[in-house]
Amino acid sequence: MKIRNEPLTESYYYILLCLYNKPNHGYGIMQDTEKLSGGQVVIGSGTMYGATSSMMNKEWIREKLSQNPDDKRKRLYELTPLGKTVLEEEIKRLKRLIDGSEIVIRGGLL
Amino acid sequence: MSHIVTKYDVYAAWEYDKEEQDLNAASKNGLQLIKGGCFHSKFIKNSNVRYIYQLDYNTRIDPIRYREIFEEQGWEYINSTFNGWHYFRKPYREDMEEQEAKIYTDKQSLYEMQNRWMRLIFLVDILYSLMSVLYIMHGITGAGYSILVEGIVFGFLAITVALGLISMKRKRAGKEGGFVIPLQIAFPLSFLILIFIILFGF
Repeated sequence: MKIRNEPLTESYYYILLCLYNKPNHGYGIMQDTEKLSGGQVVIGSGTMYGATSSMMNKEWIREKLSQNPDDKRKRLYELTPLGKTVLEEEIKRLKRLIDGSEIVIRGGLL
Repeated sequence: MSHIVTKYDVYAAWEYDKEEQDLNAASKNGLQLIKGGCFHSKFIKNSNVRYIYQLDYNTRIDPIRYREIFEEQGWEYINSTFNGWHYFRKPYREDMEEQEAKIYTDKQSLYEMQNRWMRLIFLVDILYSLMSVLYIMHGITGAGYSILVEGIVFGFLAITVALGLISMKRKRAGKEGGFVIPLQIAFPLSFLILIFIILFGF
């Protein structure tokens, strides 16, 4: 399957990023996103439902039920191998942007 | 029961944000929405609480997952209309951040939601326009005044809907909404004329 190279929105990006190391529930994703972005990015419920639905359709993430009996929230999301590739490609793209920008800003090129 | 109030307020889809503002204002004045609808809404009188309201449009939802995602962020689900609008509320706080009071927190997802109903309305508008052109052509080539008037009515509806969509697009571009024909007048008037023609065709 060909991986789309178009930029992800901040919401999509942070949702994928918050699932990179372990599955998480919707509320956890929202809290981690707020923390990671220094309070700049908040993912509201409508945005969260739309983004998770769309990424499940694309098979970037999937639902997973928590096996932990203490877990109040049973519904977790986890990254699929495809989703992981999409995120890693996006990180590479962003890094290219930043690297290029820094070269220009330091007067190295152009 | 005397503390239940029914309001017969009708909003066009492109006025959904006005409906939210009106619900917020009603809540401030002690009227709390308990059932939202396309043609009438029910409120309960209670001045001890105050909520903020949000409307969502989505015809394809997984109801359990959908409600979970709203409830975990403090949104209480109120009800849904037959055609895919969902009402939510959250207790109002004075120090509420703007993002906390919105269910769509980025432009892309907000536009996706608006596009879902705008696409549908656009199709309806094309239908009205086609009917209008067909009837008017038919009317002026000898089919009679009734057909011509029906064509004009469909044309009026097509213009009403088109202006609504244009105003939505203008608002998205950060401009003033611009001129719209109130749907609350245009639709009843059109249907009265159509029924009149069907019953007493001239």
